[in-house]
This record gives sequence, structure tokens and C-alpha cells, in this order.
Amino acid sequence: MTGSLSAAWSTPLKGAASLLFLGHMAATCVQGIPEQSSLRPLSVPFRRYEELTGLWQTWDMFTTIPYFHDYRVDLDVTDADGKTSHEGVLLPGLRDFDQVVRTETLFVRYLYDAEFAPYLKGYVERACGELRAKTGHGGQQIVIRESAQRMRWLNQIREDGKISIPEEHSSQPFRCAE
Amino acid sequence: MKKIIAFFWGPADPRAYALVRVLFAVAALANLIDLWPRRFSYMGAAGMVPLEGLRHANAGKLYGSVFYLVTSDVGVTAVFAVAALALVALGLGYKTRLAAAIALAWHLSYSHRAFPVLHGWDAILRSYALLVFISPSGRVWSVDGLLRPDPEDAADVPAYGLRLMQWQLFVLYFLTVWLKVPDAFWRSGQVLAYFSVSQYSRSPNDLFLVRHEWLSAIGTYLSLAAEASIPWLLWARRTRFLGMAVGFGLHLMIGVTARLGVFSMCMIPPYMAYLERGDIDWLIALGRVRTVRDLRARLTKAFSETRRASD
Repeated sequence: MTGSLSAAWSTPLKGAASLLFLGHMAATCVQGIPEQSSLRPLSVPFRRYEELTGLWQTWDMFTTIPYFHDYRVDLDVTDADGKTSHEGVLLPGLRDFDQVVRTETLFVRYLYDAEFAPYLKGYVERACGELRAKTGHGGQQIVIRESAQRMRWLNQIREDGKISIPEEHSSQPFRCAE
Repeated sequence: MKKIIAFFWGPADPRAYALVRVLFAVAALANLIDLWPRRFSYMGAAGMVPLEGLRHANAGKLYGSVFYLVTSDVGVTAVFAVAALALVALGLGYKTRLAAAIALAWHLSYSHRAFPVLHGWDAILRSYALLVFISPSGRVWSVDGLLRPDPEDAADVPAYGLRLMQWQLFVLYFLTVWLKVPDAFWRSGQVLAYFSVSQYSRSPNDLFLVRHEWLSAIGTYLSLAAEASIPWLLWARRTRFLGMAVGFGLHLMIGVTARLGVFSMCMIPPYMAYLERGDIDWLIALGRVRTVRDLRARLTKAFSETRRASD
């Protein structure tokens, strides 16, 4: 009796699960619809599912060339009395940049992607906290300074063998609390 | 509806699940080891990813992470250690379902804590962690199976997990090609030359591909062609091993030439989801080959069987 009951339920249950699987497949691919597409709203019903299950994804790695031959980043610190110094950007400890791909990505996102502005604010507050602990006072002005080597065009590199030109970017100055 | 049910619930070789599980655990462990030296910087309370910024940026979203609660250095280290143990257990197939649950929780936790440092391979690991968790565990090759043998372990299991894994790989390659094709540098074939002297290269001062741009063009176009064709090659039995060879070759090349070794490792487990019983039997037989004559006989037999199957 139990066997025939479970057999009777087997097909409907498998059918229901199959619909869920189809939903999962749809959730996997609708995220790839471009933001500008009129079909983009199709992705909206799946967002909560993607957030909950961790299915959210983008596959935009290396969709164009990298721009830098070398990339470094550090902190320029100016004390209230005008004295300047350099500090490392890695927290905790204001350690030197480690040239790790993930860390580089973090700073590029903090500095150039508006979505990461809340993170940048928190990062600066922590860096200020570390400076305060190190020097015993606050009030410094800090600037996140990128020192990159921007790649030249291939024909230019072939002409003289010089791969890149130095390029520096400085963030807006941030004032540490006293 | 019958066809849909047959597609998801048709028979599959449990060893395919076991292969995905084992290789997934290895790749996930490599990723964890890569994160380990920077665990306090990325996940810790005094690190570079402030929790208050995270809460602000992700307000209203259903993200969960054990690192929202565990922020001390000792706590972060403990979470890493538990996750590492779970990944080892998952690879070995010991308490597999529990290990898979912890592996999923680990991937959700670090991804939802350290958004600013994430890359494509984190999404691969996260999505496959979910799929490994909901799939049959591949008990046939596991410590659990050795400790409590069950004749049913080797029997066919439902294919739904493999189908979802296959779909994920298809979407991954399709979208990456979709996004690359319009780019001027991919179209001009210059990507490999630029990449070879970029900060992501293992030898950024080597001008070989810059001086031989035609090689870069061939390599760039071949990479695109490989990414566009791999899911199709894997799907058809006749071309499956060609698809594997192309994919492994592509990711081996990336792993050797770029500072993205973990990415290459993460791309291998999904391929195992395409293997069928005959493929795995053939691979096992290949592993037992001791002489060139044996190898030739195996390859000839496999070739004729594949031809017969496709005819």
C-alpha cells in the first residue's frame, strides 16, 4: 500500500521538482541579459532566489584588454603641521600593497565604481583609525595614490621596446577626525 | 512533461557526481588556501572591507554570511579552518552531505562578506557549491561508501544535478563569448599580446607575442573559438573528449601564463558533469594501460565504438 502510494506520488513530485530545476536554469541565464535590453525585466523575479542561493554571477572577466603593465597603490599622509609621509594601504597594519589580483581589484573598485563608495568611506575611517593609533593623534589628510604603468599600443612597444608609461592617480583628499 | 521529467530524472552514473565533487573540493581548497594569508584583510573587523559599508551597499538584499557574526581574528581563522576541514571531507566523501552543506555556507559567507575582492572564479565555486549540495553525492567513490558499503552505491542515480551543472557551464561560456565578441581588441586578435605584457602575466616583460602579433591573433581567435564551442563539444558523445582536451588546454594555458592559477583550477570540475558511464569506464581502462600497444588498442576500440554510437 505504502509502495503504491509513493509510486503514485513519484511522477507529480518529480514533475514539480523538474519545474524548480527549470526555474533554476532560467535564473542562471536571465542575469546575463544586458541592462539596456527590453527583456531585462525578465530577470527581476529571480533576484531573491539568486541572492539567497548565491547564484548571482557575471562573466565579464577579460572582456577587453588589461590596461596596466604594473600597478601599485599607497597612502599619502599629510599631518596637520604639513609634514608628509607614505603608508601602506593594507589593513590591518598599514602594510605595503601586496600586488595580489584580488587586492588590486578592491582598490580599483573603491576608487572608480560608485557602487563601492560606502566601502571606501569605511576603509578611510579605518585607515585614519590606524594612523591615530600609530601617531597618537588624528587630523591627518590622506590621499590614496595609484602608481601605474599604463601599457602603450603594440606598434609603439615594437618601435622602441618600451612597454609602458608611468601614470599616477590620486583620490580626493580625505580628512581624518581629530 | 514526460520528456522534461526524463531529462532531469533519467539515469546517470554516480561516478560523474563523485568526480565533480572531488575536483570541486580540490579547487575550492586551493581558493581557500589562496585567501588564507589575507583573511584578516578581507574578512576581519579591522580589515579593508568595512561591515558598515557592506550593510549600506547591500541593504534589502537576502545575503547571508557567517562573517557578519564572526569578526574577530580568532573567529575568522576558526571559520577558515572549519571550511578547510569540510572541503577535505567533501573531497574524500566523508559525511558528504554535511561537508557539502558547510562548503556551500563557506562560499556564500566569504562571497557575501568580501564583495570588493571577488572574481569570476568565486561565482563558479559558489554556483557549483549549491549544485554539489543538492546533487546525489557520488557515494560510490567515497569514504562513506567504504565504511558502510551498499550495493546500491554503484547503481544509476537521477541526472538532475549533472543537467544543472551542464547548463551552468553552457551559460558561463556563452555569456563570456557574448561579452567578448563586440570588443575591438578581441576582434583584432591583439588580446593575447596585450595580456602577455600586463600585470596579470607571469612574465610581463617578455615581448615575444608583441613582436609576433600574428601568433597573438591566432591564439586570441582560437581562445574565442574554444569558448564558443566547448559546451557543444562536451554535449555530443562523439566530440566529448575533444571538448575536454580543448577546455583543459585553454585553462592550462591561462594557468601557466597568467597569475590566475586558481581560476584555471575552478574551471575543471564542471567538465566532469558531462561524463557518462561509457566515458568513465574508458578513462578507468585508460588509467590501467601499461604499454603503447595497449593504448593503441584502447583508442582504436573507443574510436570505433564512438563512430558506431553516432551512426
